[in-house]
Parts: sequence; structure tokens; C-alpha cells
Amino acid sequence: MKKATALLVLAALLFLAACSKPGAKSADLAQVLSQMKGAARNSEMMDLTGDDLMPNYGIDPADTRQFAACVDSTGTKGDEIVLMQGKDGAAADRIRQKLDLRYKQKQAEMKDYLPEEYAVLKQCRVRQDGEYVCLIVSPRHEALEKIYADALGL
Amino acid sequence: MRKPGRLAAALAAALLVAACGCGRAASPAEAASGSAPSSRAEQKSSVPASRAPVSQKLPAASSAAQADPAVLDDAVFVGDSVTLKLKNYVTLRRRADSSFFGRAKFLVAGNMGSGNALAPLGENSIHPPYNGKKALLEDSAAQMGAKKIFLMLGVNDIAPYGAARAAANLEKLCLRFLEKRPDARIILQSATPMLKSKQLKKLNNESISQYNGRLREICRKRGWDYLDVASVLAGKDGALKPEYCSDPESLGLHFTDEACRIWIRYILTHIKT
Repeated sequence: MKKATALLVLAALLFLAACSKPGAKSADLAQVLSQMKGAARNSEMMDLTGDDLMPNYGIDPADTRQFAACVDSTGTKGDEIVLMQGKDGAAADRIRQKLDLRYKQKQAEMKDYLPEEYAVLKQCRVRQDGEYVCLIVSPRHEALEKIYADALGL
Repeated sequence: MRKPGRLAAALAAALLVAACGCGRAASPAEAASGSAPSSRAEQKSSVPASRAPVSQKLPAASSAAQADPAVLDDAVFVGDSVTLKLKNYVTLRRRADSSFFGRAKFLVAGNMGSGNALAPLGENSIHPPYNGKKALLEDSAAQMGAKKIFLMLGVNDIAPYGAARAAANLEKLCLRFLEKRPDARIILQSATPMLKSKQLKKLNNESISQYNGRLREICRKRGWDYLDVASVLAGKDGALKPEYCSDPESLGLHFTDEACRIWIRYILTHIKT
């Protein structure tokens, strides 16, 4: 009986450990971004590389397990999609802080400058689900966020 | 005594199977490579197809009097949304040629002007973060090791401050850069014109021209360099040539890739080495 109880406890612990992180379903973020770009209806988006992470966001590429990102290239729109998976929970938290800073900066830049873009931005957000963190800014943010959520099983 | 044991073992096995199901499955990329995906490589190969022809379309710039782009290795470009477009253009070109435009860095924000750049640093101030740290422009430039500081500001200043005060604010901002980097060279670039059809009451090609005249005077007085970028982008009427404008339906002052190419060539053929 003791053996059985021990086995049960062990199994339960393993189960809880495996399922403790929200957003546990894995996704290939490059594929997710590709899908989102198709729905974003902005043909002027440019992809970002690992070289852009530190100067643009202050994010250490070593903190990421994978990422995919693109931003409007014209300088006149606020569209920006940043999808990241931290290498662990602590890294994801650091990425979250940096994307929060980016979001605030975009607000500061657009508030009295591009009212329509600012109105869009205010409806968008930084989102963290376990190791996954994203910033999705687009007039079609609802559709894009649904693609993201579906891909990650959120 | 045995029955509960078997039951517990079966239950434990079921839980273990369920636990594995909840675990993180390898992504297709990871599965293919057997390790975490190389995001850099993936990103590099996923430059939008619409962008790819840019470098192919561009004819080789005249190399006669063109400086080596390495002259910009210690340069920082400070500007608004016009310079933000230049930054994005350079970023894309560097995917194919890492030495494109030297190692010039950028400090840009869409609505930046010398007026709001002079404002105190704060959570809601305009100052763009560099490497994740928000700082005054002069502090970020110093951190970047800037020895040549190119500034193109004005289109966000002329309406609220007027041409004369906007130019005075830019002069003040330049002096702040020099306080932090006394050995740096200041290079003021003219503000660039708008489409003829997009003239506003306070911001128009006439006021931009007045502003640029003030900048020229400041440069003469201070011994700073002045680059008349506007001269290669304007038509005979002084307005931005329509073929260089990316936003003819809205503000009528932002640039196409071709305008960026001309701007860069102008810098490389006019920079004092």
C-alpha cells in the first residue's frame, strides 16, 4: 500500500511539474509570424534579426530560445510584431520588461504625433504566457493575436 | 493487498503518459536541427520577397568622389521619422552587405524634434532607449562612442516653435552633445522639403527653407559641417520630388528607398574626411 501511495505521489508530482507552465504548447514562432504577416495587410513590414534585439529592444539574444519579429519599415506606422520564447522563465520575465519598455516608448512617440496609430496602439498589449512573450501592434491586432493564441494553444 | 498496488501502478502509468503529453514538444525547426532553432539564420532567410529586389534595382553609385563608408563607423545619426526610414533602409541593406553605410548607428524617434529632445528625461519623454536603456540623446551618443554626430531635425519643431527658435533649439542640443563628447564633430543636415501639394500653414517649404538658412548660419558661426541634403531631393520648385515621397496621401514628406539611396550617396560624396 505504501509503495502504491508513493508511486501515486511521484506520478502526480511529475504531472504537475510538466503542466505547471502556462502556454505549454510549443510553436515555431517563425511560422507563426509568417502566418500573421499574411493577415496583417501591411506589405511594408521588415523582418528583424538577432542583431536588432539589443539595440532596438535591449534584449540579449542569449535570453531567447527562439524569436521572430517584424516592424513597419516606412517610419510612418506603428505596426510591430515581436514574438519571443525565453530560454527559461527568468529570461522570459526579462524579455517582458524590455517589451513593456518598448510599448511605453511607442506610446510616447505616437501620442501627439500620429493619433490614429496611437489609438491602435492603445488597444494592443504585451502578453506573456510562461516562456512566451509577444508584442503585437497592428490595426488587425485581434486577428493576429488569435493566430498567436491558436498556435500556442492558449 | 495486491489489487490496490496494481491499480496504483496503472494510475501512475496513466499520469506519466499524460505528463509527457503536456510536456514541450519540439518545434518543427528544432526537430529538424536537433537543437534550438537558429533564429538569426531563419530571420535572415525570411526577408520579405518584396524587399529582396531593392539591392538589385540599385545601380552602383558613382564611386568617383565617394568616401569609404567606413568613415561612418564612428557616426551616429539623430533624427525623426525621416531618419527612421533611413535606419530601416540601412538595416535591410546590411543583410546583404554588412559594411553598408559603415557601422553608423541611429538614435531616432518618429516625433523627435530638438524641442522635445531638450526636455528632461522621463518615462514619457521622447528619448529613445539604446540597448534597452532610456537616456538623453547626448548620453546615448556618448555611450555609442560617437565621434561624428549627424542631426536631421526640424519638421516636428518648425510648427510649434517657428523656424528661428527651432534652429536655436537645435544649436542648444548640439552643444549638449559636445559637452559630453568634446572631440565629436557636429554635422547638421538640412531639413528636407515636402510635396508641393502638402504645404501646411506653419510647416511648409518656405518655413523649412528659412529654418535651413538658420542652420547654415549656425554652422558657419560654430565651425560645424552643414550638409544640404534637401538640395538633391527637391525639384526646381524647391518641393520634394514626387518620386521620392512614400506618403503622398498623408504628410507628403517621408522617403522612398530611392530617396534614401540618394541621401546616402550625398553624404558619402560630401562628408569631409
